[in-house]
Amino acid sequence: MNKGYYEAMFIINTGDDDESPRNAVIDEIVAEVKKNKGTVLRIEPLGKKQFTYSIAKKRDGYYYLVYLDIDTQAIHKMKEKFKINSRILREMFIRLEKEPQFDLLEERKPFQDDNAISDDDTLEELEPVEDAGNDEFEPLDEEEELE
Amino acid sequence: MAYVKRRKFSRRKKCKFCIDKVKMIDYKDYERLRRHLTERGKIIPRRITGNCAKHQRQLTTAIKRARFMALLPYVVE
Ligand SMILES: [Zn+2]
Repeated sequence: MNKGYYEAMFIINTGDDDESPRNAVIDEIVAEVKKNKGTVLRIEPLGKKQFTYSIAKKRDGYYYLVYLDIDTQAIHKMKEKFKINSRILREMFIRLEKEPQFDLLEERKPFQDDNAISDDDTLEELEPVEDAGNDEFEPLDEEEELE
Repeated sequence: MAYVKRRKFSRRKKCKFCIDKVKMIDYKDYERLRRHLTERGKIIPRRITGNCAKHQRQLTTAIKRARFMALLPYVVE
């Protein structure tokens, strides 16, 4: 066992703004964590936000932060599970160096929607590259994209 | 013998993240991250912004995470 603290971010879109199907997805996530002998430390809804590009033909979704204490191997297993859940558009896990201190996070504001794309014509289906989701496990090399 | 003193390059900008004593650049802070992107959405290199190598590395990671979560755009063609 190689346990660690993680900050996970999920984007959930159930097709409407009703809270109960969204909460059902959150319950599924929590159940999956428990199944993998992990502990959910905190769930923080960040609200609805428009995307900067469309994901699975959706232009917005509800963002959630989920803090976990779980075995590293279980993260990979859970990700496979979440990937086939069509109501979870994105999931990302970031390992934290130490136990999260929530009293310091209390002040966080929900996401603002001011930068969102709104015009239908500008919407492009831009799927990230194959392993973009694996970024979170390793620090990336410095890169200079601009010449 | 007199030497012509070469003027030291003093144009070097300080890293803003160092000045603000930022320990870890957060991908959720996409408003701030966006200022480090060009209009086309590319990461501005540190030789222009003056960021230190450590913070530029953190910045790159944070921007990639924010892009993955659709908080920032991928490069606009
Ligand atoms: Zn710095």
